[in-house]
Amino acid sequence: MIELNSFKKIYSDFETDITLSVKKGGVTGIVGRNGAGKSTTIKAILGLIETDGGDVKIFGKNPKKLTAKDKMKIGVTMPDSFFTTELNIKDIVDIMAAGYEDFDKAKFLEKCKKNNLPIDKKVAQFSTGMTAKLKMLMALSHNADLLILDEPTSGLDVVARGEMLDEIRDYLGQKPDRTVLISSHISSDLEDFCDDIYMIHNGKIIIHEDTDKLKGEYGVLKLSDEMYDKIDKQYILKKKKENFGWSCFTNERKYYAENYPDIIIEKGSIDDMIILMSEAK
Amino acid sequence: MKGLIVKDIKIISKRAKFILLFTLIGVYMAYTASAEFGVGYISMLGVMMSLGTITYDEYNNGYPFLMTFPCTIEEYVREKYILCIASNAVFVLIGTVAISAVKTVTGNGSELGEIPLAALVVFIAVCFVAFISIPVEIKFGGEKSKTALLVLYGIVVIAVAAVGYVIPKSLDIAALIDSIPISAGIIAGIVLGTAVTAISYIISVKEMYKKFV
Repeated sequence: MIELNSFKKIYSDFETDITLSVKKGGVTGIVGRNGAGKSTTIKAILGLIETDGGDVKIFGKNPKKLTAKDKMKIGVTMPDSFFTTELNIKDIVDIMAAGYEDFDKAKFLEKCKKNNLPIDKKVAQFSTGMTAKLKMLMALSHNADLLILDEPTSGLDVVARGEMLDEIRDYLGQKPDRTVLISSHISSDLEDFCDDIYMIHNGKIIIHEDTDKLKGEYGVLKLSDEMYDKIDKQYILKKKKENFGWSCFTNERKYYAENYPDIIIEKGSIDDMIILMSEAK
Repeated sequence: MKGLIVKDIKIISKRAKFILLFTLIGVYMAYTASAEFGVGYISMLGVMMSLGTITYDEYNNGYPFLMTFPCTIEEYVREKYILCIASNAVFVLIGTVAISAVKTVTGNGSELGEIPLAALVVFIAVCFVAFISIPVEIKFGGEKSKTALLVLYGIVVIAVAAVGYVIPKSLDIAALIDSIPISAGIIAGIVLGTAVTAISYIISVKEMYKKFV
């Protein structure tokens, strides 16, 4: 569905070099710190920025060549871009119905009601969380084959985030080939949701792994200085000096558990990955 | 493009009270001054509302999201031209009907015959203004475009004045224009109008593409 090959975008403070693919029916996550290049990647996929090198394809096409019909198959959320907030949900319903052939008005209104979104109030009067929910429901309302969600849960509390992710799961469950690319800096949103995850740091992919492997095989070793000197370091991806000694990120948690039963090993979370891969040496 | 048109109509309709008030002012102007002035005032209102939708689209950094909507950049720009022409036509019609009604009721029915021609001239002139303004609105956005348009029209006024200064006083411009056959004038008008529209559209599309670099 989506292919990036050495996608380059040059900015004054960093440049991207990203190779990434999202298969049909897959749920792929992009994580990274603020300013890592997640939104840049998504904008390139949607044809919203020029590329300075490499190749970007969506539905097998250059994103700049997407037609209106192609865009009907894509549901998008963006954290910092939307219709004018002078509109209300009633207005948005009419706009969506006119713009998208497969817009399901009844279902959309039902979901707005379920999420306590007032249909007569201007979006300008919505809270951040209400606006985020509205954007998500709009993306899910027109039978899109591909969802591209840039920070969709930004501004939502933990309960609302869970509800929104449930909406996406429900949406994916309705048709097997639906595909999602989701970016977030809230890693817990992605751990139980994505099939695979790309981590971006300073415009580069530094890890790409299946989520099951991340949870099953990755871990963080907590080592004293003495233990660090003795340990086999061939499976240590990154290390970070701590007060107690060293935190070491590994993709072979079981190896160290079997061979060094006395060391403290924590299961790898995406948060650990982000911290250690971006800050550590 | 349908979705874009519905969006812009929704935006314009939010200003319904404002539109009604200024339409009434336009009708009053037609009653006190001239039908052409009244119709021109009301039709300019329609075009200003349409141009204002470009500013609204820009609010909340709206362009990136709009470009994920089912439309291309070319379709977005074309929709603005269609909106301006349509709103111009609608407001000219509203103005013509309202002013005709007022003139009939107030016993100035003898002036009714002048109104349709005045309406046509106003429609063409306001379209011309709109096609100059659309690329400026797209390039400069909201507030800056007002300044840019003032500067642009200022330059036009100075250029016309300069030409008038340079032309010999013995040359009777009015007689010269009257000597041109009507058919030639119409053809020249169509050619000029088409050229202005095409150049305006090309610049507008180019300026929209520049927003996505």
